[in-house]
Amino acid sequence: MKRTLPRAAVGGAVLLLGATLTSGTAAAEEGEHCVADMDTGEQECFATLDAALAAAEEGTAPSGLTTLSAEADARNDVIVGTFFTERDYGGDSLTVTAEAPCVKNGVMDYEFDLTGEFAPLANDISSVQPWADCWIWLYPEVGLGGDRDGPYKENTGYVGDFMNDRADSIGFS
Amino acid sequence: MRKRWILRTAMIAAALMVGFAPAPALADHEDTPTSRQLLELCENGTDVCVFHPEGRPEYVSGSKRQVGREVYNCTGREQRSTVGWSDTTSESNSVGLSLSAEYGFAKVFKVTFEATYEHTWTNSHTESQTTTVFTGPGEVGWVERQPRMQRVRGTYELHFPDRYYGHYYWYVPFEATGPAPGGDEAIVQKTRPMTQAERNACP
Repeated sequence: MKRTLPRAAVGGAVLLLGATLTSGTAAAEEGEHCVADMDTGEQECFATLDAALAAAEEGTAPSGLTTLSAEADARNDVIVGTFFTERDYGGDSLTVTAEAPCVKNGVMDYEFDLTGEFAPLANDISSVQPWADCWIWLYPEVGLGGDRDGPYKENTGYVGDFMNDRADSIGFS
Repeated sequence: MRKRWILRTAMIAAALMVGFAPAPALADHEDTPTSRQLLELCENGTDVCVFHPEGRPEYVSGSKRQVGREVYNCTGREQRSTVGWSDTTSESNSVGLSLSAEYGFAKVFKVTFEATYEHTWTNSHTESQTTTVFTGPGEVGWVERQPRMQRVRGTYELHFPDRYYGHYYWYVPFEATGPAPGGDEAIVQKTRPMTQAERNACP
C-alpha cells in the first residue's frame, strides 16, 4: 500500500488554536513548524515546535475512553516523522501524521512529496526523527525518485552529506 | 495489496488508539494516566519507548544563591577574606521523577541526549571553590553563585503491547533542566553595610 498526500488538499490550512498560529507562508522569527496530516492533506503551522507537536498530538488523541469507537478511529492518527531544516533538530520543522504505524514488510507505507505548500522544505532537510515504527527514506526527486538514502531508523541529528539539503520526497516504511 | 489494506484497516479498528498525556504530571481526568504514570512504564511495560528531542539545548541562567559563609569587617580598614564554599546544582524536570533514579525513561533520555548532542547529561554537579572577598570597614561580604543550566525539551513516544488506558500509543511532552557543561554563569562577591545588630555583635 502506498499513501500519497493528496496535493489538492494541501493548501487548505486548518485554523486551530488561533493564538499560536502563524500564517501558512510567513515564517515567524522563531521559525515555522508545520504539521501535515497524510489522511486529509491539511497542514497547520505554528511559531514553535512545542505548539506544532502539541497540535499533532492533540490531533491523534481522543478525549477519553468514551471516544474509543470505530467511528473515532479515523481521528486517531499517529506521528510518523518529524523533519528539520537544521542539524540536531533545529530550524524549521515539519511533523507528518498518518493513519497507522508502519508495517515492516518491505513495502513503502507512505510517500510524501515536498511540493506545493511544503516546497519550502525541499532541498532543505538536515535532520529527521522517525516515529511509529517507521523507517524514513529521503529521495532527491519527487515521487520517491532518484538515489535514495536511508533508512533512518532512529533520531538522526544529521542525515549525512549525501542527502543533506537534497530531499524532495520522503518515504516511510 | 488489497488484502493488506483490509488487514491494515482491521488493525486500526482493533488496535490503533493514540493518547496524549497532558503536560502536567497530575491527571485531570480519571480515565487519563498522568505523565508520571506513563514514564514509569517506559521500558518497563512498553514495546517501544523513544525520546524525540526538540532542537538544541537551550542554555539558561540558574537561580542566584549565596554560597559559603558571610564575612564581617569589624575593623576600621578594608579586609581581604577567603570564603570556601561548595554548592550543588541538580536537574529538575516537568514530571517530577528523578532522572537520577533507575527509571527506564531516565536511561532513554540520557542515551538520546548524549547521542544527539555529543556531550554527557549531568544530573547533579557540585562546585567547590575558594573566593576572595573584599569588605570595607563596617561591611558584610558574601559570595553569590549563578550556575549555568541547559534545558532540553522533547516528547516521549510510548507503544504498549496491550491497551493502556484504552490506547496503544501515548505521547508525553517532557522538559528537563540540568547543570550545563562549562560551569558557572557568574560568581560574584557582594557587600552591604552591617546592621546595628551586626555591629553590636562585633567583638
